Amino acid sequence: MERFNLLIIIISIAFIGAGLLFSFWPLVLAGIALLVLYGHTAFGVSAALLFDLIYGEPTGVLAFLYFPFILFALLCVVLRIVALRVILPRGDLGTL
Amino acid sequence: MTTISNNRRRKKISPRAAFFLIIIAVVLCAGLLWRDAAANLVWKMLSPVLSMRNEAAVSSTGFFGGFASNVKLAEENRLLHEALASTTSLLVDRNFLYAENLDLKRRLGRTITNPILLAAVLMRPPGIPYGTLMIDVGSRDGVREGDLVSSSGSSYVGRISTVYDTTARVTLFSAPGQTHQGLLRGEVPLTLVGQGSGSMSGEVPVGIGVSVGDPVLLPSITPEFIARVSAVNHPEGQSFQSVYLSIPSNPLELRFVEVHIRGN
Repeated sequence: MERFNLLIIIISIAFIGAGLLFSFWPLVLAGIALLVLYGHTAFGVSAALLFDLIYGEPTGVLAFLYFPFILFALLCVVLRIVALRVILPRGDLGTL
Repeated sequence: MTTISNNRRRKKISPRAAFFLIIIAVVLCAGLLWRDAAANLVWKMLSPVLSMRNEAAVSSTGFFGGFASNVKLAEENRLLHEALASTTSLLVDRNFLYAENLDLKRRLGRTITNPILLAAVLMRPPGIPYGTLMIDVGSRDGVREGDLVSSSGSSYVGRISTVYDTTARVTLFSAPGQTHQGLLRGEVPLTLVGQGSGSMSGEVPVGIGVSVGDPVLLPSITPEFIARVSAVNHPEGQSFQSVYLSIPSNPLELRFVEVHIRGN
């Protein structure tokens, strides 16, 4: 399990680094999502905060978001909680 | 066999979740208060890295470009020579008219001598998800919020929106939601609305003749060219026609820009 967690962190950092170096922000989002969905919430939110500082605020209709990457990370947290509490237990045949 | 779910026991927020929520709230509040200071610190560390990345990208393009097909390169060279020949004559004409324009204004007591600062573009769309550029000059170089930024000469692409110590953020005129007042052919007032990716739109009454290629200038004493009409849509029975415009340079290809520093 430790090895798996380490692998997830390495892959996420690779995604985030590649997104920054190759100027392709969806990779950054993918890295943040991977970190948060696999339970490394603090790392994911920290990365989101860092990229909110780097990219600045959105313009236009999305300007009200102000911290869009952090909000995306929080959305992933909610998704993880929903997945753990609602979707995944249903797969367990021993539990109603 | 069936067991009873223990979901009911999970209703209380755990101390860990509460701690996490508090940390998030603190981070967001701190971000709201010290966002610019934190971004300044991050960009101080990041700008040398991105400068190196850009230099490496240019070097590798030159290296791998040597392996391109000779026939393709010769064809590209011929096309570029043709484009250069037609552009050179237009540029001579334009430079002459621009100098004459400034000279006439100087005679009427309007001298514009704002310094121009060359800046390298560190990040540009699509590297940044919004319609902004990051450039490698900041408050240390005399850049201030609101300074106009041109791709070259009098072809303006945006304004400085945030200034850090060593870097600055440029919001493009074409950034989504940005509105600016312009003058179509230097005469007809027009409100330009940014649509992203170097495009803008506006509306003018049907009676006004608009054609593709018409320039749009900023209302100013100097000729400040910001867009060119790329398409006109005139629906039947409407009193306004939609005008679609593009900024003079493709923001995805900008490597250097000029910052026109306003006088005090």
